[in-house]
Amino acid sequence: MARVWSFTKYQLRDYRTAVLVFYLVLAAMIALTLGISGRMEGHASLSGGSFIFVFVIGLNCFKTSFRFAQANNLSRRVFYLATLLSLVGLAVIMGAVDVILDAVMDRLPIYLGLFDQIYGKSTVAKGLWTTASLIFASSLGWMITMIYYRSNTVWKVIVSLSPVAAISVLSLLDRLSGGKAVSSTLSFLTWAFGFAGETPNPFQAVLTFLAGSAIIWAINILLLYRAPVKN
Amino acid sequence: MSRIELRALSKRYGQNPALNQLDLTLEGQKIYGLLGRNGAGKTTLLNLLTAKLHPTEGTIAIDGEPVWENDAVLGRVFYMTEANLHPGSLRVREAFQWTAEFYPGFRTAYGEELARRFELDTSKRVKELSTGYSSIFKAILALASGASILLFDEPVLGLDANHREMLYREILANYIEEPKVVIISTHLIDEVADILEEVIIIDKGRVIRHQPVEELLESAYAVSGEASKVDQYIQGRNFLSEERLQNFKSVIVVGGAVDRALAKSLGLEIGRPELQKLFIALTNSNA
Amino acid sequence: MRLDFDSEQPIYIQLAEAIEDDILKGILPEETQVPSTTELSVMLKINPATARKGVNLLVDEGILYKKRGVGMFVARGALRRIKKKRRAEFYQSFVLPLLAEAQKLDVSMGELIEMIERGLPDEQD
Repeated sequence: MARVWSFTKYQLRDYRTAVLVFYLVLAAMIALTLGISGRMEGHASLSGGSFIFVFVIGLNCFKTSFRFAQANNLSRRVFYLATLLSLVGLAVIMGAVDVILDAVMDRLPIYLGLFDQIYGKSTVAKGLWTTASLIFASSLGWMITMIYYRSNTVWKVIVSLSPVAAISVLSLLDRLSGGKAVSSTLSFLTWAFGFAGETPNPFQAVLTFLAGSAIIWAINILLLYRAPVKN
Repeated sequence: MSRIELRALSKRYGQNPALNQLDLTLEGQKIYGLLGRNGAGKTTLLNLLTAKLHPTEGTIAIDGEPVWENDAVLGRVFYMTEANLHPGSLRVREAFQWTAEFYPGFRTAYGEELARRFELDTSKRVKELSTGYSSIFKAILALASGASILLFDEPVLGLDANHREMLYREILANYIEEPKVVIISTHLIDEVADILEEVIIIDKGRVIRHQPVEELLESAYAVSGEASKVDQYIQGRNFLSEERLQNFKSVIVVGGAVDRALAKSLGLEIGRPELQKLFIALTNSNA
Repeated sequence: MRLDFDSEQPIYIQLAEAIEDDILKGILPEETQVPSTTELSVMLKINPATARKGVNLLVDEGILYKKRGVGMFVARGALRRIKKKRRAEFYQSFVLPLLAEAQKLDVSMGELIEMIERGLPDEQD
């Protein structure tokens, strides 16, 4: 529908200022670090930065925008699709920029990006991996903000405590199973991010990120169902 | 786009019934007045009509199509909400541009002309607008939207007398130029009464009156004079609201023709209450 | 043309009477065009349906007629028709209230007649 595209445009326009600031700060940081030490310590700060950044974008993509969608009588379906597309679009753009930045930085002899450190050199894999991770991060932020939106005070407390609760449950299970719970979780994660075999496989991680995103998107449909407009 | 049907509509918040088995059919392109006291359920009704809320029970349809998640139908309705749903950081002229995206029939030149007439600074951000200008901003969006159903929820909130008159004139002019369904929901009845064609009075979550304005006004009359004489007249008649001042009494009689002969013989005055007086009488007695 | 929104008459009747008054006063001579219902509703800030009702009332009474494609006009003989109608109502609307008020104030018949004669416009110029 035309309205989906229009709202996608709106969401992207909404992210624009933050994205520009992000890259300006990034450029400043790079210039500063290069200027001071003449070398980059590692790529960790750069890609980690994008990950956290889009996560925060996800956290902010809902409340004000949903009200605006309602002001224009857009259905929740239109809002959902447009927001999803905008987050994916943002991830694709930032993923591409990340890859380009990496390629530029690679010219400097002392630099080796985080991705290359782990998975070895491959532009395609790097692009896909970064984009998929950004899609996952932003979707996660979106889901969390929606969970909070739909929760009343009691549920908000429960949700806020859930990470702690999950860890406690895991360690309890671990003790009961004689160490099997944690080790099986770890081996699952290892496999999911492509470290199971001889050489690390980035495409496995891409699949994991996308699968995780798909699950989140399904949950978000439930969260958006009959969502009321709140103050 | 001219038939709105609400059937057995109920909306409960926990135990509190905001709307209770409400039935309403609006047929035809007219200016409707949705009148009710604070908390009567007007805004809830409009929110349900535009799928901002899901009903607890009942159905809502526009031109026979259910409104829920129905972009085709909702795209032809513009709802000027009492709440401020526009992002505070958005500038007025940007809001015009975005509204034009979502409402292809939006008339930008007309909107800008209205902004000029109301002296609305389009470079201002939504959050910088006063209550009055917030209303003006939203009302202009509605008028310029090109939608075939316009809903106004308390459109003159915060407006000074000049702007109130201007807005009612603009709504009227807009309706005359391009007939459409206009629903004005308000508890400020006096000034809006004359531009209405049909009136719906909501009280405690139900429709208590739905009639053409003149019919409603002609259905009641005020009888006043010496208290005991008034009591004689109202014997066996339906009446609402009683105003007493020592020996003087005034009562609004509902239904039935005026018995002028009897009134004259008792020395009573017959008058016609304006819409607002009648509204107060009706909603006070609907206990 | 002004409407008194506080009076007890329905607005469309007030509108009809206001137009009749303008015809009687000569402001709207026969065969001239009357403002359209659209113009009336905008000018008086009333719903067009109300304006239409008032105008149609006059059309039904033969005081106005519609020239297709052009608009509403004052009918020939409208003046005569209005006067005839108003004269019939004159007794009810003006004379009886006059008498009732006079009685309320204890104005005698003689005083009343003297007042009427006093109020008549001068015959000489």
